[in-house]
Amino acid sequence: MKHDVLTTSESAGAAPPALAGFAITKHFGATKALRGVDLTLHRGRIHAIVGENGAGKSTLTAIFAGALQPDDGHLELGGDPIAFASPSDALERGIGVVYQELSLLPEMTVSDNIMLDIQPLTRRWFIDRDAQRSIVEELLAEVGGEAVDPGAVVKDLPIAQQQLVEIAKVLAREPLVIILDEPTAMLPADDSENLLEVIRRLSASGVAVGYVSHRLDEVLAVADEVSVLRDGDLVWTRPREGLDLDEIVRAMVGRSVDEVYPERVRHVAGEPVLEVRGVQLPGTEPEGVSFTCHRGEILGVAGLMGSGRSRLARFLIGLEAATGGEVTLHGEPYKPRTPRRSARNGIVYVPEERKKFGLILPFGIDRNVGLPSASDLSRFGLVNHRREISLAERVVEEFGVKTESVEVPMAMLSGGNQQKVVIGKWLVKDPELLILDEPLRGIDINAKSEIHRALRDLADAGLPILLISSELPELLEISDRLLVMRDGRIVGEFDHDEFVADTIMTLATSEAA
Amino acid sequence: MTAWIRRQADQGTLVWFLVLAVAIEATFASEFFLTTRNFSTLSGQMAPLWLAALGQLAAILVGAIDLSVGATAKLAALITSGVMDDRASMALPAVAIALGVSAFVGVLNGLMIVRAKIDPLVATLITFTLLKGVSLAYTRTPIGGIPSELTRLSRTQLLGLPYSVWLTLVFTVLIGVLLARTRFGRRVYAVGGDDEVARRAGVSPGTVRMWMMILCSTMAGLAGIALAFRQGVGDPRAGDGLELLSIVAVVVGGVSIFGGRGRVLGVMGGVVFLTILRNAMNLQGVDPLLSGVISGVLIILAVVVFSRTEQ
Repeated sequence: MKHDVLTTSESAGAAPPALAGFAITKHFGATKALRGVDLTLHRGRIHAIVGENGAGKSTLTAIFAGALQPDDGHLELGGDPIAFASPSDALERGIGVVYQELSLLPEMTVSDNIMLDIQPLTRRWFIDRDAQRSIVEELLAEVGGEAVDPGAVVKDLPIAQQQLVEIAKVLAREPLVIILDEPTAMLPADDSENLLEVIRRLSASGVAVGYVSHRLDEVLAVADEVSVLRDGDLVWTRPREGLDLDEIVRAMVGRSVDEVYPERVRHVAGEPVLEVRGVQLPGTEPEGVSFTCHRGEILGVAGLMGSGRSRLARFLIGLEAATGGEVTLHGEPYKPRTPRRSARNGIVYVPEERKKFGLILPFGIDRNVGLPSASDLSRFGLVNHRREISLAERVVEEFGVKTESVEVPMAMLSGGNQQKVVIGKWLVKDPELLILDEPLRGIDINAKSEIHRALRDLADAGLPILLISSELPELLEISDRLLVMRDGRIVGEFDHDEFVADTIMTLATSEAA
Repeated sequence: MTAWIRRQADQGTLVWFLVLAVAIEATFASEFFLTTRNFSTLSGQMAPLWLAALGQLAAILVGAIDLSVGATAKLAALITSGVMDDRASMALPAVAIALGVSAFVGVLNGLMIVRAKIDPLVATLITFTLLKGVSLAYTRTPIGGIPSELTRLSRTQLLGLPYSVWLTLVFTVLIGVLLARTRFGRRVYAVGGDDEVARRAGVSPGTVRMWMMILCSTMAGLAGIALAFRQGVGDPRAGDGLELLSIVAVVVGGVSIFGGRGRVLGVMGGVVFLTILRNAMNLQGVDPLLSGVISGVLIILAVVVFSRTEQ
């Protein structure tokens, strides 16, 4: 590209920053997602932004992209104050964002996606298809996507190629700044390497790159400077030189690293309930996943998005296929087939997005709680509503759900209370194993600790719990043991007295550990 | 094999194999099927459904199934015939008023969907009911008339096809080019695919959807005018059922019912398929009641096959 004469890394410091945010603050209701964050993107440099889930990375990206407005603080573009009205406004002014969830139209071709609304025209009206094709081929070559057919329909492409198309689409709009939000989260290692190469090339051509990622080894490989966010605060921004993995992890996890988690009476692990031996999730290493979950323990599963933690859970209830290995439940061979059969075998799964999979919002607590137990509650196919209500009242009482009546629609309850109902509706079935996927996302602190306590009580009463979460502090707090997953494998297993936050974070985030 | 079928369905070519199958069967079963006379009858019959289906395509591409197509066509047919009232001199004003009213119906649909954010099915069902009422208030018996010299003209043949069919083909090409070759066409597919993605690229989904609703109703109006010219009079039953037939033609033509995918070629195939299916059964002396059942079953099968390709 043509800009490289203008910018070398030396002159970048002197020129006004391509895009900068000053004292950016953003609230969502009572929670502060960002607190006075300063962040500067320079031309020709790669600025990595890291932090745990909920640290504020996505909010910051959204503000830079024009999708959110800051409550306080301001942005500067090329040294001048600016406010973006919308993502398309930001895009027009040269801010391109490659989103984590791809923003491509699956039914349209690669060319049509990349050139959407910026097609070269002939005779004012008609798309100049030859010109479009050659522009697209050039763009694809620039991002290392020579193998992608511009005429292919996007839905037919593998995800790695779609990712390249997405980047080409942003490049086609000739941005001054590109922000990539977790671009490698869904890619296997080889493709990630290729993508990092593309990012280096972009930066060398003079574009300012913001690189949001969880994968710290990649951050160290590619970044010129690194900013760490934690709980909405900017911990620090430092040049890449002289940084190492431990330092970043320590900043991400916070001061509490060296604290040993509170010793507590640990439930003596009972007999094994679920044993998984060498089960291989599709597209992962053949050694597979092996672990045992005992009676009365909370077994935490840590890992980044895409590490396979949710797929493991989905496999156990028969929603996802896996090859090889064996699973036993109470010593008997167990083959997950469908969620319905798993439930009958006593394996209960509380899914990730409760509003989508776990609840029927317009229904009251009574009818939601009654759903899995419908056959116990009915005679001759008619549901006994009075028994449904008394069941719901039991759940409300045992879990401390705050509501005026069990007939109030779920939509009126707070997130925490909704989650209590979701868990409760299964517990009345007396399950053998409880699997929870991200049970505390979007729940306020008080409700969190109540749910923690409820889970603890359940475990103490003998129920084994498999707890999947991307929030490490939560896992460290309530798990008895912890599995760490990466790339569909278990890369670490810890007992409660061996918990060290940064070791676990390092394992989950990088190859090098 | 399934991948091949899926691709053919997506591209709107699969339905032409069905057309071929029906045509071959009918050719063997009735010596009358493959005659120029039957051919010109068929093509004349096709015009109204063809025009309405093109309109339905426009609406469905932006994710808005239009249930008011038949009622709009009916009103346009009544207005054309009623205003003309056997006076050739009134032909142009009559057609112009019919088209103007139809376009206005499109504006109404568009406003309800885009501004008031009413679900398209509900919005167009409201319009459907409203227009039925207006038509009933206008007339309950056949009204006005098209002068015979004009109906004859519309049946005059050029290169083996009636004028009405040529006119239909012109609109087909215009809409085909609009969708496949222009920037506006790409916006249509983008909006049908995902509003948010379109918006991020600087496209205004509301504007695009509005224009497509107007195009849809205008095409429905043209269908009504074609019906009036064929029948020579404003029939209060004209256009009945056209909304469903046009949806079926579009879906069988491989257009995604959720919007964002579909081609004019497929819709043409869908219209030809529905028309020759009925014609073939007529020629073979199938009881009309039975033929309704048979085509219903075949259509269900076809729609199942085509909508299977969604996932």
